[in-house]
Amino acid sequence: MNWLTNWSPSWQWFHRLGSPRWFYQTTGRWLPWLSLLALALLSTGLVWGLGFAPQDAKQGNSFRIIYLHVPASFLALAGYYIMAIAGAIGLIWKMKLSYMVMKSAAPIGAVLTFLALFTGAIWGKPTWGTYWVWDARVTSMLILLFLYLGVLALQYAFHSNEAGNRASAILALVGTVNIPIIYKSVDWWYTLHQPATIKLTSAPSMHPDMFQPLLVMILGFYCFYTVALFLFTRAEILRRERNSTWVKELVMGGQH
Amino acid sequence: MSSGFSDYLRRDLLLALRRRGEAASPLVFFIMVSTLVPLGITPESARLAEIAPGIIWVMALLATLLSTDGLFASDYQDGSLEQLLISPQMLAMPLLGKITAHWMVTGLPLTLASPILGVMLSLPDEGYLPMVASLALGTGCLSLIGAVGAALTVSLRKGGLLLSLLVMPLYMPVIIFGSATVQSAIDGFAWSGPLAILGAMLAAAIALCPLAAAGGLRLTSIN
Amino acid sequence: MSFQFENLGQLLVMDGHGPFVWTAVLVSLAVMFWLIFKPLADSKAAQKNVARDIARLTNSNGEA
Repeated sequence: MNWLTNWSPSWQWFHRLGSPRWFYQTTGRWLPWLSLLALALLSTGLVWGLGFAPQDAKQGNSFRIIYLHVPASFLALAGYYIMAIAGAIGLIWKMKLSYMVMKSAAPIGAVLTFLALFTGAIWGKPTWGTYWVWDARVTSMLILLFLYLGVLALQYAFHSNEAGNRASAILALVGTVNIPIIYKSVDWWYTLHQPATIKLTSAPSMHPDMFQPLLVMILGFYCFYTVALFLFTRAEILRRERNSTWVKELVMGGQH
Repeated sequence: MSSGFSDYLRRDLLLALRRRGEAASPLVFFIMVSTLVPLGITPESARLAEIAPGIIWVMALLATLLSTDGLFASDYQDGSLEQLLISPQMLAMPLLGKITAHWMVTGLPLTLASPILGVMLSLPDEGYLPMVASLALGTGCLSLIGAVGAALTVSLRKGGLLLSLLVMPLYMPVIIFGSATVQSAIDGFAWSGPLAILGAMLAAAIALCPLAAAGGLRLTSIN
Repeated sequence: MSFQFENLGQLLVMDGHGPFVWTAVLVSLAVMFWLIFKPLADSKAAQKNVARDIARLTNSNGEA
């Protein structure tokens, strides 16, 4: 990895970016606004989608679950890439903060993947009569959950040290390379066994009145994810930097 | 350039030869556990024939998983792994030698024993050649991918089960195409397609996994 | 765009799909709350630990 580190920029701003203290202070300023934005988007989207969007011709009202299921799925997948990128940055530039972000992204992503699977299952029952179906998208999402659980298990087994951070980062990157392979394989596998493919979990081609609240929910989920990521990382910073002066001053000062 | 490769291939094969009992256990596991299937599901030939390709593949995967933990374990314990890590040569070639030895001791016997299981599980006649071919390529992939997981968990005490968790999602594409090779042949379709994809996976794994395992060993086995 | 149901009661029932939709909503909200409150609780606990460390050090007359 040495050749990569030698090439790395030594710009002041980039290294300041790697400072946990800077991150803590900056996110502390941003969080109130970001949380407000997330709350506004989510509540608007949810009320709109649950109460005001027209119901689907075929699925009736159960289709409203889409306003939770689709955003959760997006963030579940995006979250894995965020985790992997944070890991890569930590490996290449040996940035402590980046590892902390990676560690924080793991539980959030795993939980959102579970939520995507759960809401998908609940949606499936009234719509197609069954809670679970082994179709391409559901199976891929399940494998994504396993990938997350693997990273979490590895982090836990190493008890928070440098080797553990590197191992998790490598595993996350290996998983990233594999996600397209897994998705393509599962897709192929599913069409092999279901030649007359009725795409069970494809989103219905949507009327704008149905799509707009979905967009709001997706944006809201992205903001929410950012808030959660910041909060988890801040907690990790306080844990790891407990011996540093600025943390001690922070606690003495009685701030949050 | 390949001196690291053949040295470690020979070394690990010799070591395995000396511990023949240990080396044989994945194979024995493979055969015994496949007996669970008729006991647990059905002894009816027709029903067994339907699920035989998948069952044999799943069992081969599990047997490989069992043995992967031992890839670096004994070397880690007696310090020879550390010796390897501080040596100046490129780590990827010796690792490829070790992984190849591992495959020759686990994957290859499984592949050669699979016709026996085919007979026991009523595998249709058209399935035998595809089964052997897909297992030959597939177990190679499994050994290579497993090595990456083993590299990441080598310094952990109870690494075995964790290794299985880590590596299982990565194994899934292999089993999809491996089992599909056999099933396609049984159903009367061309089975060269999925087999070619297995071959491509193996080629990519040979190129990438030793590097990933080397990086993993270098970065994580020294706390 | 208008309210799709006759009244709030109908919103709950959703033509029979109510239990499904509302279970999904409630579980989602619960999960999302956990994702916010867990790290907040962890932060508080971490700060308590730091305070305890400081107290321990200053009680032996001056910090390390």
